[in-house]
Order: sequence, then C-alpha cells, then structure tokens
Amino acid sequence: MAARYAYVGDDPAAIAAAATVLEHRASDLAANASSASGELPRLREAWTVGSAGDRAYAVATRLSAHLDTIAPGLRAGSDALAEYREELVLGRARVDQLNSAHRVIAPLESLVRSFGDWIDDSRSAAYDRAVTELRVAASTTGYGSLWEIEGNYRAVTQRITSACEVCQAALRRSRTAVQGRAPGRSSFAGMLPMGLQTGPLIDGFISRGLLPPEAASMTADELLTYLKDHPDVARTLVDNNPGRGQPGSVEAFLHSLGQPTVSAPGTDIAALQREQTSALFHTLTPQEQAVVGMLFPSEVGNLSGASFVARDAANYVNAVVARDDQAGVVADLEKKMADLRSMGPFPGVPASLIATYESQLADARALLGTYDRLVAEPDRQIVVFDAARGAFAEVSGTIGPTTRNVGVICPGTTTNMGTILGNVDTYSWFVDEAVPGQLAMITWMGGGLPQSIVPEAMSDSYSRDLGPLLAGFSKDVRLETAALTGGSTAHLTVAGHSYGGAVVGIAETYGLDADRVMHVESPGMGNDVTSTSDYRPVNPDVRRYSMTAPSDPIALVQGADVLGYGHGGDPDQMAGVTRLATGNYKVAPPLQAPARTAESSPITPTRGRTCFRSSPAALSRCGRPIR
Amino acid sequence: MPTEYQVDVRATRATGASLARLAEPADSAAGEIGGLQISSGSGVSVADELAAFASVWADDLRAVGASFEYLGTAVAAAGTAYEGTDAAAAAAYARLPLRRTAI
Repeated sequence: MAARYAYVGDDPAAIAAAATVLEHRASDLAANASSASGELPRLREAWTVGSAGDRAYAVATRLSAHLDTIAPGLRAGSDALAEYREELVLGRARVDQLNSAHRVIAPLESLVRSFGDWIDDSRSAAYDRAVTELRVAASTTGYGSLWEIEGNYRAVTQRITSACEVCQAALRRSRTAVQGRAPGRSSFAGMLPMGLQTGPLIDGFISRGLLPPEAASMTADELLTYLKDHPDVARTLVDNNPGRGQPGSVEAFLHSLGQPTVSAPGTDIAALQREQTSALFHTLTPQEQAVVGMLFPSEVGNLSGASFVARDAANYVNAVVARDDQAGVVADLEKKMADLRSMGPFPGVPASLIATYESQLADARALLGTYDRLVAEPDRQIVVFDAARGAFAEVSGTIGPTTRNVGVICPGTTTNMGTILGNVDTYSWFVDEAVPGQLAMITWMGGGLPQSIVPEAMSDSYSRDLGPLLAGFSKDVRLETAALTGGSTAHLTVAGHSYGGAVVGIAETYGLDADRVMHVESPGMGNDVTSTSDYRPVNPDVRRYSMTAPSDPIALVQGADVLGYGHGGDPDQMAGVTRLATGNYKVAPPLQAPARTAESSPITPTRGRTCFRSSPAALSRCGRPIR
Repeated sequence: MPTEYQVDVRATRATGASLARLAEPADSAAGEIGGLQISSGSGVSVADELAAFASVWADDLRAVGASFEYLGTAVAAAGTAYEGTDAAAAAAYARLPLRRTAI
C-alpha cells in the first residue's frame, strides 16, 4: 500500500556520499597546500638569482596561496550538505511516523465520523467504543487527528525546504567565491600569469615582435585590456595567421585546419574538424582558451568547434580593430561633410550629394556605436563577429551545468550591425523571464540581412547565403552546450523572426541541429520547400512551431514561391508544424484598448506584446498550440 | 637581459619534480568532484546547485593541477637547461685556444 505522505527533499544517502567526497578531498588538498608551502622556500633557495627563478617563485607563491583557499571552500560545501542531510534524515523519520500514525488514525477517525452528529441510544455504546479506540490510538501515536498529522507534514515540508535553501545558499557562496566570468569556470586560471601555461606561444609572439615583452607576465584579463588600449597591437594579431608551430601545439593544430586533407570518401570533414577542435579547446583551461583566441583572433573568432570562451576573446580583439577602422570611416565622412559645407550653397554641390553623405554618416555612426559598446562591455559573449560580412552572434545568459534550454534566434529584415544590439537587448528579456540559469539565448546574424521589404526581402539570396551558416552554427551550439553542461540534456531551439524564418527554413535543408524550430512572423519555410520532407534534420524528432499575428501583412507572402522570389510553404499551414497563439493585442498588459490588427502586424517581438510573451514558453516547450 | 644567475641545478630539478607531483591530488580531486551529481527527485533539491558547485570547483582544481604540472616541469627543465648551458660554455671555452693556435 502506497504511503500517504511522500518523502521531501533529496536522498540523504546521496547527500551523505557527496559530503564525504568533499570532506575527504578537502583533507587531501589541505595536505597538498601544506606540501606546496613547504616547497616555496626550497625553490627560492635553489634559485636565488635569475629572472626565470623570480617568475617561477611568483607563480608558485600565487598557486600556494590559492591552494590554501580550496580546502575551506570544499569544507563549506561539505558542512552544508551534512547539515542538510541531518534534516533529511530527521524529516524522513518524521514522515515515516506520520504515515504510520495515518494508517492507524485514518480508519478510526473515519469510523467515529460515520456515526454522524446525532448518536441514538442503540449506537451510543459502539460510538463510545470507537471514540475510546481513537483516543487510545491518539495517545499511542501522538497525533489526535488527521488534521494534526497533515499539519505536521506541512511543517516537515517547510523545515526541509528551508534546510535545502540554506544548503543551496552555502553551496552558491562557496562557488561564487571562485567562479570566473565564464559559466561553470573558476576564476583562478585568469589570475595566473599566462606565461605559465601558454608560455611558449606568448614567448614566440614576443620574439616575433607581435606582442610587447611585458605580455610575458600579463594575465588573460590584463592582455585583453592591453589590446583594447592598443588597437595597433590588436591589428597585428588580427593580420597574423597561425604558423606551423611546435608539433602538437595549438598553433600547429590551427595551422593544420587550413591545409588540404586526404580522407575516405563520404567523410564529413567539417563535422570531424568541429569535433577535433572542440576536443582540443576543452582540454585547455578557460584562460588558455581565451589566450589562444586573443592570439589568433581571425582564425578562432568564428571557428567551428572552438569553445565560446575562445571565440569571445578572439572577437573582442576583432571588435577592437573594427572600431578603430570604423572610427576612421566616420572621421573621413565628417571631414567630407565639413568640406562640403565650407564650400557654401553654390550650384557645384547638389543637395542630393550632401544628403547621401549625411545618410552614410548616420549609418557609419550607428555602426561605430555598436563597436564602441562591444569594446566598452567586455563581459558580452560574442561568438560570431565579422565586420566585413556583417556577421554577429551574442550569447545572453550563460550556458552552464544548470542550463535546460538554449535558444538561437535569427532576426529579420532591416537588422544590421548598426542595430543588432537592440535585438540582443530584446531577446535577453527571454533569459530574464526564465528560471535563473536555465535558459541561454543566442542572437545570431550570420551575415547581411535584407534592408528593404521590396525588393530585397522578396529574394531568397540572403536566406540561401545564411541558411548553411546557421545549420553549421547550430552544430557548434550543440557541441558547446554538451561540453559546458557535462553531456547535455539541454534542449536547443532555433527560431527565425520575419526574414529570419526563411533563413531557418533554408538552414533546415542543410541539416539544422535543433530539438525545436520556431517561425515567428515568418514569410515561409524556405525557398523551394513544399513540405517538411524537404528538410534534412539532424534530430528526426524535431518539433516545429509557427506564430503569426492576425492580419500581419506577412501572411500575404506566406506560401509565395516563384524561382528565386518568395520563401516556400506557409509555416502556419504546413503539415507537421504546430501553430502557436500570438494573442490579439499589441501591448499586454494593460489591456485597455481593443487590439487593432494592423498594430499587431509588425510584431517585431517587443516586450509586453502578447506574442512576445508566448515566446519564452515556446522556448521552454510549453507554447499553447492553436491547432 | 639579466647578467647574473645563481642556481643550484640539482636542487632546482628536485624542487621541480616535487612541485609537479602536487598536480596529481588536484587532478584526482577534480575528477571525483566533477563527477558529483545527485538525481533531482522532487521539487525540493540541491541537485542543480550542487552540479554548479561541482563544475566550478572541478574546473578550479583542474587549473591548479595543470599549473603545478606545468610549473614543476618548467622548473625542472630550467635546471637542466642551466646545466646544458654551462656545459656548452665550458666546451666553447675549451675550443678557444685551439682556434688561436690555428691562426
């Protein structure tokens, strides 16, 4: 017979095992710290004069100091788990007691109640007997009624919930004390002079004049700051390509990626290289990954399979150079404008020319504004960046052990490098709305998008350029998510808004890797796509969704497809696609005015719109289907 | 470049080896702590926070292990390099009179 009350909280045995592991390891590492501090004077005595000796001693001192903090950090976790376990054991004993009491009290109380409110004389003896038995049972069990048992169970639940929260807080405190900027990563590596682990690479760059001598003793963060302040040095790194390097080194590996390879027929070289690259980067510490990215920004910034830490660091350097270039463009245009204005309004300078320059200047300033923000905000995670192609992708939130869902969204017409950060701000709201740590969003613009509805957005050329890139990127995200979550169970959703839907559709014909695909105000499922059987999904169980606001003019072109114009089948009508509700209101709440369908039409997801509110739900697999 | 060095080559090599040996406990702890996980049975659970805790500390310990290994190897290699440099200098010195004689 099933117990009335379930146990609350985790299995105490599992918690005890985890606490024991942490306690044992804390003891081992305390001994290790003691040995390390014992080696320090010996190192100094053995090597009293010499710059290499000074450097080794400095590193050893820093290592030893950090080691001293590890045992207390692990013990804090162990102690928290041990206290939580005690509550769990007590709680389970109490729940057992409550179940036992319930088994006794429930039938007796039921019997007493069965007599009703009025007891006639013929039944009073039986009633008295029942009441007596209930009182005896209450005395034996310690619980007078089911109500009292229920109240005690609630108290047990509350107590264990509190203990769980206390334990979580202690674990979080211990973790955040050592956590670095990257999710799931320690900050320790970033505190070491990078010469410790990437010494040969750094030394080689210094000897070739690509880095200044002081780079030898910089941390990864210090090098990043240095490159920000020295765009000329950043440019030399961007212009440099990986050489042959030492056999087995990262540089040699990066160099090999550009070389022709011989392989068996049918080998998916891209997939193979992606996996090899990911495996290589994830054997490095995050600091090393970042350093490799900074040293080879052109190679690593968009390298399939490279860790996102490395791509982000590389793209920071790329952005520093792009900002420097763009500042020059803006300065040139400003000078031209100033020269034209100084000539005065005479017939030689047509107004249309001035207007053209003004428009160019506004665009150039918008672009510079984006680059300024990227450089000024180093905590952004830029995993795709190419100023020449207008390619960009940024992660909002973090991909880490607690991640349950990762969303990739491709925006639509009129989005460009000058405006993309607005999209990032918008989509990061999804992350804010989700349970903390469980959703990460990636705003992806793998290249130029149409800048006008007619004629550019009618053409399939942009989607045909970007689709294969998105398919490849989805595989990068899958691989990286698996690496950062420890063999991921996180779901991957790829969404396209407006023209982005056409891009997603074409990507599906190239083998998109997704668990869910979402079309938002999408013009179609991809040029030439008439059914989902035209797709080559990596995951055969992929679920597809579509949401289109009522009377959105996009509906006029959904399903239109003539040669290179139009974008294939209508996502709202296609078999195998679940249509989701957008709601009818442009703004929600407050729902003060009736929605005008025309207002819903642009539907660029804006906070507060009902369609926008459906999106996080769909990203978390609980959208409300229309049909 | 510095022009003065004072190093006990043998002691340096020994210290390097000792430092490198400190990598093993850190690596081993990283492996075990990185594998810590409990199943999240009910809504009340520390599973997610424990996973995040284990991930960060395992990464920290991996970095510590890699640092000790690299430092120890580098220190030992430096000791050997000093020895080699001294031997090369001695050999070069020994050859000098012969060249002069030849001239």
